[in-house]
Amino acid sequence: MGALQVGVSTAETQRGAGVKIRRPAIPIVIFTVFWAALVVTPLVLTLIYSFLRQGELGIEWHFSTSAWSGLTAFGRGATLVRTFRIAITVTLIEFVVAFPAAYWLAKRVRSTALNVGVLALLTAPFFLSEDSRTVVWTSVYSNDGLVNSGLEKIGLIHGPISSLLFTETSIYLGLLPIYFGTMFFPIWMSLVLIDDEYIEATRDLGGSYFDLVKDVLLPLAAPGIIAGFIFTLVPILGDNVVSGLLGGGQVVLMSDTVQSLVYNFQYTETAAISIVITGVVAVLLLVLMRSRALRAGFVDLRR
Amino acid sequence: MSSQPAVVSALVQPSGIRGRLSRASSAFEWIATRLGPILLFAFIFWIWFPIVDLALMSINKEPFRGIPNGSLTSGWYRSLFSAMGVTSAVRTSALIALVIGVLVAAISFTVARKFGTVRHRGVFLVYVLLPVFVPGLVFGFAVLIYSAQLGISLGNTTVAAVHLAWALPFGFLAMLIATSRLDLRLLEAAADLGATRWQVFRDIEFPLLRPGLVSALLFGFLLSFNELVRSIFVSGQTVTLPLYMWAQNSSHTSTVPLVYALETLIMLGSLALIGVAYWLLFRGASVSRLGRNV
Repeated sequence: MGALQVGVSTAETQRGAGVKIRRPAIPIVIFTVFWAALVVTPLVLTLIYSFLRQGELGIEWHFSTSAWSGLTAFGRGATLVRTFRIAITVTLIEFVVAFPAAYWLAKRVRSTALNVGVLALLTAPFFLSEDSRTVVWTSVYSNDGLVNSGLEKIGLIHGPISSLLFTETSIYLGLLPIYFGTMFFPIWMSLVLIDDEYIEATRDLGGSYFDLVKDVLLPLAAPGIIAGFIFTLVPILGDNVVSGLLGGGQVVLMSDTVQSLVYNFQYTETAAISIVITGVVAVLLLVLMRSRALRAGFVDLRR
Repeated sequence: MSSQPAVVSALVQPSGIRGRLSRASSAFEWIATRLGPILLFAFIFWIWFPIVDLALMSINKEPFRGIPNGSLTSGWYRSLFSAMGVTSAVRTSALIALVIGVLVAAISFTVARKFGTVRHRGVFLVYVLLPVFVPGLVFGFAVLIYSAQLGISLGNTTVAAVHLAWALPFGFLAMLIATSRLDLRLLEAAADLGATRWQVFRDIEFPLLRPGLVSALLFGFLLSFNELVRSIFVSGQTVTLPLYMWAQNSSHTSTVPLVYALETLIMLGSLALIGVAYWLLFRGASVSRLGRNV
């Protein structure tokens, strides 16, 4: 905890010593207003819409909670639960895989070239379209596709595994490779920042693997881990590419519900669902901003 | 023996504690040095397999099984240019992406330079990153009803608006890497030596921040060019390339191989730009500096 506490105390000392507080520069002020108009206002409007009445010809500006009471109607409750279940499961799997992998790369690999190379391989696909990265699976996982015919050839299966497409399994298979980088990168970053001496000290003092992970790595890497959870969970909650291409209409997720509601101009109900999704994320974000570890992480960022 | 403190018993029975330590360490060593890299490279393979396979399928006569075979063809690429809507979608996307790239670079540059004057930097950073915390479909819908209230018709403007909100946080982070590396003493030294504020900016600050600026431009361009989820509800008559491909892919028709060819071209172009951006941002960086600066 040493480095982080030093970071916090420095900030407090500066404030206590009465260092002159600079006024934010004009670009900062202009940007803050601009961002409020572009990003915050639409979200506030969504919240307002969820309390309006849905009329025959569109939105009526009368207070109503019907959108909220209809939240679980038409099997939408089950869809919400399913989406959160899949999103959280995928996020947890990514974490379990990314943590030891990131630890190995950050703490056991001395070569800068290998670190940079792996990071480039993991982050570059983020800028590619999700569509391009997913569409080929529909061929590969099909009944006479690469996986099934390959497994048949080596005699592992007789007859294709048809659950590779258009099932919940295929949703997992599609999501896992797409959202690995978003979990890996922040964790790797926070692990790199941990002083090697803490790890050596833990082992010199006879600490076990669990001690190292529980008392040193997890607390010190907490900002990166929380960031990884958010960067992974948020896009999965709104993902419509994987469910569209690999779910094939058989697995209905929140994105499918939202799309069909919007195409039918059911704006108040869409707004209510949107608020539920954003609300869950906002709660996560608040927890994150209140955590001491993260605030210290931000202090660290300034230097 | 049991009444002795742990330290003493450790001294008396060194083999005991060393045995426990080595057992714990060996499990740890196995996870750290075997499982970690195996998982990592397995996932790298899983991530890159569809990207490489897509490129292979795009030159294959029968791409529907995902298995590369000997019968190669350039037919998909040739028919690509005569396919309806492709060229206009490319033009639309390129134009919007270019505007977004320039806007992202300009705004990120102006704001990141003054990041030091912000008092609550953590809060401000989260504020800038806000669009990243909002699922894409939700934000697209929010902008849809927002533009309805403002009376703005759906089309290029609304698509550009959601792209800007999505791409700016990443451009800003790229600029922060550059500004956090900037040695402020250089600026002070230049001023002390009699340089005007404009000269300090033009001769010292701007050249040092240029890698971040170019990276922000490239990130803005790429994120806009490949953006789909946020555009769906606000596109109106505008058909961007991802929207075009999404429609083709969802239709499960025989145009799919054309899309493979198209997506391959886009990916090759995108990868080249990503390479340039990374090279600009991270050349000469050591691992520890990399972590500290990002």
